[in-house]
Amino acid sequence: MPASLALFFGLFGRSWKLVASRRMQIIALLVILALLVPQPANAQLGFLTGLISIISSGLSAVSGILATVNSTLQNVIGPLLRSISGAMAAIQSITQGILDFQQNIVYPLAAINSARGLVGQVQGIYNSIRGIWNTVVRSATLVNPQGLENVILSKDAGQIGTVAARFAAVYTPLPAATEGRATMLAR
Amino acid sequence: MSTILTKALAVALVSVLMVVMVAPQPAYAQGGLLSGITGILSALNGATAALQNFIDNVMRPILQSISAASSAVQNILGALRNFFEQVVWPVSEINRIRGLVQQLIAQFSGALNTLYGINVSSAQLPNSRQLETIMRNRSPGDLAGLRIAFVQTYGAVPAAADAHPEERDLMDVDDAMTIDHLMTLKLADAGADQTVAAAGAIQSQGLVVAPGTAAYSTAAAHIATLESNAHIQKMIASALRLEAARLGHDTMTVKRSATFTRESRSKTTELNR
Repeated sequence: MPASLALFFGLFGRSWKLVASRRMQIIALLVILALLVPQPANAQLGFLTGLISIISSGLSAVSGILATVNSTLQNVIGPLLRSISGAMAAIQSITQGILDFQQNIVYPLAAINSARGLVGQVQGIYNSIRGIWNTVVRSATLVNPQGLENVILSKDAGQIGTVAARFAAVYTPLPAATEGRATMLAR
Repeated sequence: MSTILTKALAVALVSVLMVVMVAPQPAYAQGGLLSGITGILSALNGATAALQNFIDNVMRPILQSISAASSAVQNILGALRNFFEQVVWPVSEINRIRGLVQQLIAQFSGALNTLYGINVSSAQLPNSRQLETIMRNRSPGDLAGLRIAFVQTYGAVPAAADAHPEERDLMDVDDAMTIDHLMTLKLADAGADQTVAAAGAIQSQGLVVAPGTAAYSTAAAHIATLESNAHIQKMIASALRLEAARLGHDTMTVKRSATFTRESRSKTTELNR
């Protein structure tokens, strides 16, 4: 028997003895390992199929609703917006027309400025005329006629009370009853 | 020693078995993913359905009402524009009125200016011609010259020694009222020229007047009318003063007759004594 073979059988014999002496610990270790090892996973193919089916049906439903939304937008909302747009364009056109009419026909700026100028021109003319009318008009030379003239040209209503006296000073007072015929005095 | 170790090992083994049995089984990760995707799709579906519902039940009625309102506004604005352009301010009528103004200007202005330019002077002698020239020259700047020319034509008031004081007063006041009236007439003529200028400006404005500026032209015309009325009143007042002076003169003549009668009677009585 060679020496190496004798060494092998010697080692095997001592190992077997060791295992036999600690068999309980080895069994417990195996049980623990068996329990702690993760469970085997299910096959992936079935999961993927289910996943695709769920996503497909969900997306199909969403697509259907979106198609309805699209149809509604195109066939209902679109025409409404187009009609509103058309009406707004017409309103803009009409409003612009009204504005143009007001600016060019009714209230043209040049005519407004011209009319304002006219008012200023007329006011200027009549201010000048007032200056003319402020010229003093007096020509009497004697005292009594000057007094009468000053009163009647004074433009002062407060001097009305002095008119009779000033008049009598120039045109003489009424003669006494004995100095003329009644018909003459009554004239 | 071996027995103790064996018992301890058995207790540990039982504990591990109990823990493993009581503890929850680990969940499959794939199961959570499916649930999440389903939830997302469900939420997406709900949101899309809500969008559809919003479009149908909220957006569409609002847009329909906006559309109806827009159409109504369009109709109203169209009617307003037609009303402005065809009823209130028809362009053809505006142009027709401008043409009428032009026609009136052509019809009256030239003819009136020709009439105003006619020379109506007729005096022949130097003094009277001078007076006539001054009283018709429409200038307010030579009133003193008017008085001089009047005196040269009608004579001055006699000296105090040459006439009775009452008669001098009468002559002076008669002259004064006449000269004042002629002065007023010169002022009125000067003002009338400018009034004609104002009228010309107003009628020229009529050629370019627009409906929106008519108020300005009307205001200017009212100013002219009121001012002209005031000037007419001044002239009427002057004429009334002259008429009053004339009446005063006539009355004084009668008074003077009475005075002469009294004086004659007095002298006759003295002669009879």
